[in-house]
Amino acid sequence: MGKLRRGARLATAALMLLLAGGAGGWIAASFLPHDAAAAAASLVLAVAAGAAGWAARSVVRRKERPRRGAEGPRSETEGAGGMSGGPPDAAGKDFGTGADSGPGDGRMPGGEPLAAELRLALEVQRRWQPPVDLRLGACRVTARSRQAAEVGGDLFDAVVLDDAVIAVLVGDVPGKGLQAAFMVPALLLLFRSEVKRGGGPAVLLGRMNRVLAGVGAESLAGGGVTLGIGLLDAKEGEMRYAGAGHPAPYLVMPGSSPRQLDSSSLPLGVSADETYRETVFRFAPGERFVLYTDGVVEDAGPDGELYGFDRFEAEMADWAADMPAADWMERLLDGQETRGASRRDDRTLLVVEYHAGKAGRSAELRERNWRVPSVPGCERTVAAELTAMLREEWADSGRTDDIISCVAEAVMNAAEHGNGYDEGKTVAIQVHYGQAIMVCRVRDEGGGFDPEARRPGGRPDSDGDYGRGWGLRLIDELTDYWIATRDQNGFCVEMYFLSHHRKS
Amino acid sequence: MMDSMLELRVVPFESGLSITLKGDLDQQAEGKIRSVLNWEDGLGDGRRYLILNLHEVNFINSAGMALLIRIARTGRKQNYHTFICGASAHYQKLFRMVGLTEYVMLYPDDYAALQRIEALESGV
Repeated sequence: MGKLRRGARLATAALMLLLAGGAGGWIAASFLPHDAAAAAASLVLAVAAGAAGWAARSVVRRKERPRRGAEGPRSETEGAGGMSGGPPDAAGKDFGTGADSGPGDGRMPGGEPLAAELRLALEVQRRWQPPVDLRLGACRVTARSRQAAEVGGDLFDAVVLDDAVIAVLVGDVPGKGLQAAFMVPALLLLFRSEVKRGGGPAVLLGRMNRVLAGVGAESLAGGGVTLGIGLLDAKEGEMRYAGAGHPAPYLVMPGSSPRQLDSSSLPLGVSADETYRETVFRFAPGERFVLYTDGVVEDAGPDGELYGFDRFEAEMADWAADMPAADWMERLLDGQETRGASRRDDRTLLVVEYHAGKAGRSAELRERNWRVPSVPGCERTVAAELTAMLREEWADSGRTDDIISCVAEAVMNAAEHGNGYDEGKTVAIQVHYGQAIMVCRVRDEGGGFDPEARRPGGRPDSDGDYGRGWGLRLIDELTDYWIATRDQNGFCVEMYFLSHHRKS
Repeated sequence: MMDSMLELRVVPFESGLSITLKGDLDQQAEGKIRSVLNWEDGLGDGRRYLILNLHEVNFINSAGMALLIRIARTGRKQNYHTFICGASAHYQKLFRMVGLTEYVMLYPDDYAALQRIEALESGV
């Protein structure tokens, strides 16, 4: 058992290696030129691939060795028949797949607890997969995901590009557990770096595919990675979509039968030469675009009967015009769980809604903007304005103080580090909010800073060093999620806050 | 640079100083706080306790918290204890996050801080 623990520790070490690489890559995606960012993303993926395989093999090798001591020969016999009698590589594929490796409760088949390591992995995934309830213009993107094992292989993301385009992604990595813990953040990093390089979703998938094929992602993950990517022009309501081996999405107009888009191609990582086809359509007001993973339609009931496309399409057809996407998704997922089946796969839904021209709906999107000169103390002006707004508009969220502290710290950093207290440069603050989430963006005109380099590594050597890096530490602690990005308009810190009132 | 929005009211008591702060505690407040006394020389007259009342402070940022830590660390060198009272639950949370509570004791109000000081003076 002790050896298994050491194996688990090795796996954790590998996970931390990925984390370090991933963080570096994410920063690279934000700060480096596009080509360098893509190279960094590839590097992280390669590290993920190597580290995941190594971690899995390390654990398995230790499982295979005969155990000594108190448990004696009996343990040896049990150990040989435990996880896998095959070679390390083959065993590595088995490890972490919830359905195959055990009861899905974070334990090895022999009963060795891996819960702590998997909880760490889960926390990693949570931090890399932001809550999605995003609004831009007349568009709203909402996603819900429920995992079958502690760490799942589904991934989803939504990114605002140039304040006019929303990029959405839904995908599925074969396997769960540590395998998914390694692959999902690496893929999100790759997506986020590649999407900023421009091009349509088919081109984007092509670039991602070449990176994945180059690092042998298919053999690592035990299959290709399925992805669906959409680029939505929020002003025009135009969507460009391409899929890679991913279940075809639906267009749903209330009162009509859902329409499935044609989308077929190989998953990513299978063939470096694969090309992808793009579908372009324009939303009609009130229309919904539904992306999902196969776990939704393949969810099995207690008798083994699949949920299936017919039930799924019936749910979409019955979706009332005034029912929010989040409620519809929760209802669908809850309904599947009432069937009493044990979940074998993650289930993820992502919905894009377009409300242009619908009376009253545009009022749901609320936005406030401020711009202040870069002078010491400018954050106080923003804090005062924001306080007044929050008391009026978001008082019951329970997040007022957190938001004010975080935005003030970000504004102070932007004015001092981004704009160098150059009064000719301004700090722009943009706040988008709905009932459940508030997104605050603080943008400066500088070249950006490296958040990792500014994180305090320990106790300062002198009194003058106290306070250095605290702003980012507070942002990290108080937000539900934050990222730093750079585009042609400057450097931006984007912070997400979930309303506690809505969460309860 | 924007002017400091901090006002200070200093009230000596038998064994220490009570300073009530009002307004915003940030980078710009440092000059005003430093003007109250020469902190590197201690509190003067053998005083061993400093109470900082933040009840009327609306806004504290990381620079303000760094300022509080520097005062408290100076106190350790100059042999005075620092008590902070009146901080909101939010700022108490932030103080713990940045490690300020390693250097100061938090109390809900002046009265509670003074009671603790009395207990310390009587050797409890």
